[in-house]
Amino acid sequence: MEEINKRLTEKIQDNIYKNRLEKIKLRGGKSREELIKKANTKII
Amino acid sequence: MPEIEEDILERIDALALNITENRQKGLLVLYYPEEDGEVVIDDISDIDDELRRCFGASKVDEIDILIHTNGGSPDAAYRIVQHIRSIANNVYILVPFHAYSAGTLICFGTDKILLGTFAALSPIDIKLKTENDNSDEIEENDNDDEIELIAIDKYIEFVKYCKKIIEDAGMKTNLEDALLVEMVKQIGAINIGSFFRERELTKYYAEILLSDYMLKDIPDKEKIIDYIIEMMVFKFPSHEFEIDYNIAKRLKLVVENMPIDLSDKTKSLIKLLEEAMENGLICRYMGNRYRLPFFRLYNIREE
Repeated sequence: MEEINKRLTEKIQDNIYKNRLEKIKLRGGKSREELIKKANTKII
Repeated sequence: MPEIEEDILERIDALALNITENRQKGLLVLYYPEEDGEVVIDDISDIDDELRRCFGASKVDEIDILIHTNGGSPDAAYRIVQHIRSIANNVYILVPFHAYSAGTLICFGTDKILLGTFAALSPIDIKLKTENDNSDEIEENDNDDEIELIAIDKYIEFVKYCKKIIEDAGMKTNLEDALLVEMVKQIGAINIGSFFRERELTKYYAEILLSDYMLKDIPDKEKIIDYIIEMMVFKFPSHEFEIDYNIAKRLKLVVENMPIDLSDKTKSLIKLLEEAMENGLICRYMGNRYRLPFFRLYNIREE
């Protein structure tokens, strides 16, 4: 069985937070869903 | 971090590892906060990080998913479960309390659903938030801008019913024009169009998942799949309709009740996660209306 690593769960959740922040930053503060919707409205 | 709070995370890990040990397979916990948590496309890369952390580039024979969600994007649900399937040959899903809507769609992509005592799934009818540019500023009554597609279906039934009553009384009427115009005015023509488009997509996802995974070995599966989709996507009366073990069994989904011990443990795990969230340890807010999920894969030690 995997050993209990006190900090691992905390670290994983922190990484999720950092990943999302990074993505939001790259998308100019918008969610992926918002950007897809915006892109789709421009299809001709 | 205060000791008592740190203890919650340890208790979460200990309980999850206990479930892992009893079930003898890895346990992927997908916990979405009930308030402001939702399944979104960005979840896939975080789930992938967890799968890679534990399994590297290898595939595994089987895995359990433990899920708790009120729903979210059907596109995300479809892609999350497809991604998990690309790594695990057999997938079982544990639902301690509920996996509604997009959570139910994820269940369709597994081999078996194990429901906790009084746990439930829900229809996968579409519920869309209508667009509002100031959505971050609206803190209260935020359900007011949500509409269920089934409500539109029922309204159209109501219009037909009204017309029939009047015509049965020997009168002529164009009442339906006024009623339908009013509906389009309230919801918006574009919104109605996207409702129907989303429903077709959801139906398509459900067909693929049921056919390729949950019902893959069932003879005559096409008929069963058509029936499940008809009920889950079109017929059940409301998004909030609860599909318990008995209804799920009637629908011919591959479903079992969890043994009581497993049910108790998985429910306790969800309660601990809620406690950790309330203490600000997990599921941080990003903006005013979106809260992060908790993901963690607990793996059995390789022999």
